[in-house]
Parts: sequence; C-alpha cells; structure tokens
Amino acid sequence: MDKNEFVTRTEQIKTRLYRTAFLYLGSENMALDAVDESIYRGLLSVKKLRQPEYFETWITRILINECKKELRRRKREQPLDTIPETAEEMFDSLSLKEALSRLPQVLKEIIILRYFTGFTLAETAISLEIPQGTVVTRQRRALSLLKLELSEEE
Amino acid sequence: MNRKQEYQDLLAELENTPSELEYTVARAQARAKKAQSIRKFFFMPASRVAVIFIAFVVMVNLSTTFAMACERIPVLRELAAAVSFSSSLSTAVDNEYVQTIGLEQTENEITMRVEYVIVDQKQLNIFYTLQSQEYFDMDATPDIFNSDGRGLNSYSISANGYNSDNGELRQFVVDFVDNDMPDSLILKCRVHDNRNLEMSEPVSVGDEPQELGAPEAISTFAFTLNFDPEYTQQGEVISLNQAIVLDEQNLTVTTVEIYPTHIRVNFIADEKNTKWLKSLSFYFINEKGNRFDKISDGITATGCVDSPMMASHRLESSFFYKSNSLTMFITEVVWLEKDMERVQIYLANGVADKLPEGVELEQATRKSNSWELTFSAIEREENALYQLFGTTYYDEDGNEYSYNSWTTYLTDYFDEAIGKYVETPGVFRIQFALKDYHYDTVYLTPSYSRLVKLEIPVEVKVK
Repeated sequence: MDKNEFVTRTEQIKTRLYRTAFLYLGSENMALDAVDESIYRGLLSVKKLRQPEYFETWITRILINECKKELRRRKREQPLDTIPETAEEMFDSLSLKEALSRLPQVLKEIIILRYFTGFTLAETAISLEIPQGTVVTRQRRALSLLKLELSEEE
Repeated sequence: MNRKQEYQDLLAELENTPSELEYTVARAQARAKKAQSIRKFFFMPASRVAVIFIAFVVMVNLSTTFAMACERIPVLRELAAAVSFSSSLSTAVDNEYVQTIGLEQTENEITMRVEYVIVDQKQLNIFYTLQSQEYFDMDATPDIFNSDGRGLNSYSISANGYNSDNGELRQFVVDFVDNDMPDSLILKCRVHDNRNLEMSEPVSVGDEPQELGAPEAISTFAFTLNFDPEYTQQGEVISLNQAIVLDEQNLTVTTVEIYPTHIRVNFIADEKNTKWLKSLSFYFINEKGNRFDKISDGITATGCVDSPMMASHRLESSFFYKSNSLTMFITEVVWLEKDMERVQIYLANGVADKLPEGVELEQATRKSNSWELTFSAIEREENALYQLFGTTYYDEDGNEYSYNSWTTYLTDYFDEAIGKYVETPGVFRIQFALKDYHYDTVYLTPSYSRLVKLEIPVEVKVK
C-alpha cells in the first residue's frame, strides 16, 4: 500500500479509530493522542503492509498496542479499577458505559471491537492475535456479565 | 432504561468526536516528514500469560505463613508474589531458602538485574528485572553456558513473566534432567522490545499456524552466577525398587528424589507390558497429613530417549516438611497402547483408523500443498488442555516429517455455515498443518490412548 492510499483510507475510518481508543482509555485527550500516534506509526511502516485488504485490522492493531501502552503507563501511576469476573452482580448496578469500562481488559476489548468498531469475529481475532474460538468464548462471557443481548448484526 | 437502549445511546454519544480529530492524518504526515530515525521491525513470541499474575496476588493474600515470612524479610515480599503459583517455591521462600545475587548490567538504555536464585541439585530459578526509560514492553530470551563458556547438555530452560512491567520481578527456570547443577554458570540474555509488534505482517484468516521469527535484540547481557554449595547440594534420593501393578501393567518404582523445588518419582516398565506409561495422577502424604500434589506449573514428567514411556513424574516438594514417613497414592494413569504408537489417518476421506479415547477427527482440509487437521478432545479437567499427538508424523513409506506449531482452543465456536454458535462444553480443539504434504494418508503419533481411573488407589510406602 502506498502513502496516498493510506491517507485516503485512514481519513475514512478515523472516527471509528477514535471510538475504539476512547472506549479503551475512557478519556478524550488520551484517545486523541493514541489515534495520532497510531496513524503516525502506521504511516511510517505502511510499505510493509503488502495486503491492503488487511489495512483496517492492521491499523487497529497498532491502535490497540498504543492504548495498551497507555494503560500500562497509567497502571504504574494508579491501579486500574476493574471488577473481577467472579463479581458478576457488581456489574448489574452499573450503567453500560461504566460496566464496560470496568470489565477485565481481555473481555472489554472483545466488546469494543465487535460492537463498537464493528469488526467480525475473524477481524477481531486477527486484531487481537487470538484464535476465533477464544473470541467467541470471551464475547459470550463479556455479554453475559454486561447483561447485554446483541445479535451478530448489531 | 434497558441495556439495549443504553447501547444505542452510547453508540450515539460516541459519534461526537473532538474537533482535533479532523487533522489527525495531517499531523501524522507532518511528523513523518520530520522523522529521521530508522526503525527496526520484528516478531514477538505469541504466548502471553497475564492471567497468571491474578493467581499470584490471590495466593499470596491467602497465605498467612507466607505473609509472615514476608514481614520478616521485607526484601522478599516481591519474590513471594512472583513464586506464589508454586507451592514448592513458596515454601522455599517461607524457609528463607533464597540466595541473593544482586548483579546488574546496563546496555543500550536497558538495565538487567539478577536479584535472587532458588537453586538445588536439579533446578535453578532465576529472578530478575528489566528496567528502561526508553522501552516499556521488554522480554528476555535466555541461554546458559558452563563457566568456561562451553554449552551445557540435557537441560531445559523456560521463561515466565511475559508482559511484565518495567522493574517487575520475572523468572527463568533451568531444569537439569540427569546432570547435577554446576557450581557456577553463565546466563546470557537477549532483550528485545515488543513495541514494534504492530509492524509485523498480518496473519490472514484461516491460515495455518504461523511460526514466528526471533525478535531482534536491543541488549545482550552475560552474568556469571556462582551458587552457594549449601544450596546446590540439597536433595535426597531414596532407593525403593518396589514392583507395582497398575491396570494389569507391571512397573517398578526405582527411586524417589526429593529436592527443595520438586519431587521426582522414577519408574521402569516390564518389557512385556502392552502399554507405555504416559502420565499419572498421584500424590504423597506425610505422617502429619500434609499432601504433596502434582506439580502446579512447569515440567510434570520427563520421558525416555528410546521409548514413548514417561519415566520420571513430578510432585510439589515435601523437602521442608521434614517428613519421617511418606506414602504415595496413585489414582489415575494415562497409557499409550503399544499398537497405537502410530495411527493411520485417511486424509482424503477425513476418517481415522483408530484415535485416542475421547478424540475425534473433525476436519481434514487440503490447502494447496498442505493439509490442515482439526481434532476435538474431551477435557480431563475444566480448562485443562493437553497435547493429543507428537509433532512427528510419517507417510506410508515410513518417511518422517514434523510440524512445529499448533493452535489449541476451547469449546464454543461460530459455525459460519449455519450462522450460529455451536456449544460443546467439556471439549477442546487442536489444529495443525502438515506442510508440503502431498499424500492422502498420514500416520500420526498419539501422545496417549487411554486414561484409567483406579478403583482403589495404588499405595506405595516411600519412607
């Protein structure tokens, strides 16, 4: 893929990238920084993307890594306030937005990619570098904790 | 408000983006023009074990004696957390069985510090940290050498603590099968950073498992570790030579080796046996009622060079319990029947001649010059996955091939054909590819054929 195509396609999906980063990080400024950094890093390495059909999962993977780096930095400063999976009832009393933000990260990222970024199972698996079976298992678990019933189309 | 409505509202809320997003691509283009540094790209290991760290915390918090030990030796507090998944190593720390090393080196903005070792005659646990202001996602690949720089034989080395933060205690485990621990050795480490992971080539859907290349090292360290002989001499070998019968097969328990880090129980088998011993469920109990179970992490058994038998099986250590009496109880045994050392798979028809108990061939798909195989198997315990086949396979003429990677996954999957999730509780799947394999038939090498629960546990007096 050349840089012109990269620019065109990134312009088309930048809102979706921001949405993903915002749900990962929960902050407008941090999400914007993560998107900026990801696009910059993508631009530097775009020549290595030989299969343009994977552009979206590839740039999303870059974004996820940026978000995770930020979360690690933040964890060092103040521990993250996630609720363990075993404390199911605690999720019931929270709003969806709050419950999502407090899901364990491995579950939260599945919901973000599947239902807010709009990725398929396969795209989610590629983006997170995990088997599709794992995506399915985590998705079911996360939806169950959130008490959210969504079909494949939603 | 119901959850679906909340979901729709949240989607709508996320449509409101900050105005700065408008120029994000332009900002990236401007920065890229200024960038002068050359970046290097590499792959990273796929395994990441964040889940383990949750177990660490829970177990440390639950252990009173452990917490007391940590109070006595504040410096060992983080070590206690690092070893809490292992009852043997936790007990070792509880008994202050730790040698402080305190060696530090810095290269290319990365500082590696070897803090402690827990070492005995057969096993070495190295605890170290990586620190950097420049890198935040580092991992180290270890290797060991004799103190004169020559290579060592017959050992395994593994690394725990992938995805650790800067300064967090990490661990290497070196395990000698036959040889004893040397008085000193050289630990060499190649440290890489994972932050360029995203630069790797994407893996397409449905591709066979990819083998990952070695990441490029930023820093290379070499530490000479000298061990206190007080630690490396620790271990007790009890000769038993007691014959036992398990499921009509004759075995002899030859020796029991008790080290601070683990127990080894060694067997030989009667040549007339029709099955190879592959795995055991067993435990020791001492006169105080303390129970020592199968090893919780790391190597559980080691095999023979000349047969499929697993001859040495491991338990958590009883070393620090000063037991006057120890009794072994064997409750389950996993066999490989000798006539199942190789099983024939008719790839073109997708059927198998004979498979291990509970294993089914789900799919055999030809992909250009290769075959991709999917098997399902019944979980022996919840979330416990195990290997179904050895990595060596054969064609009809007996020519040998091997595969180096496979994918294992649990339970449910989405069936694209029917558009639904298929639930298969208690089942896991394993998938691997026979690369550049043109034939329609293959012989696989099962790791086991049958598990037998013993109605009455077999009891052996160890001491």
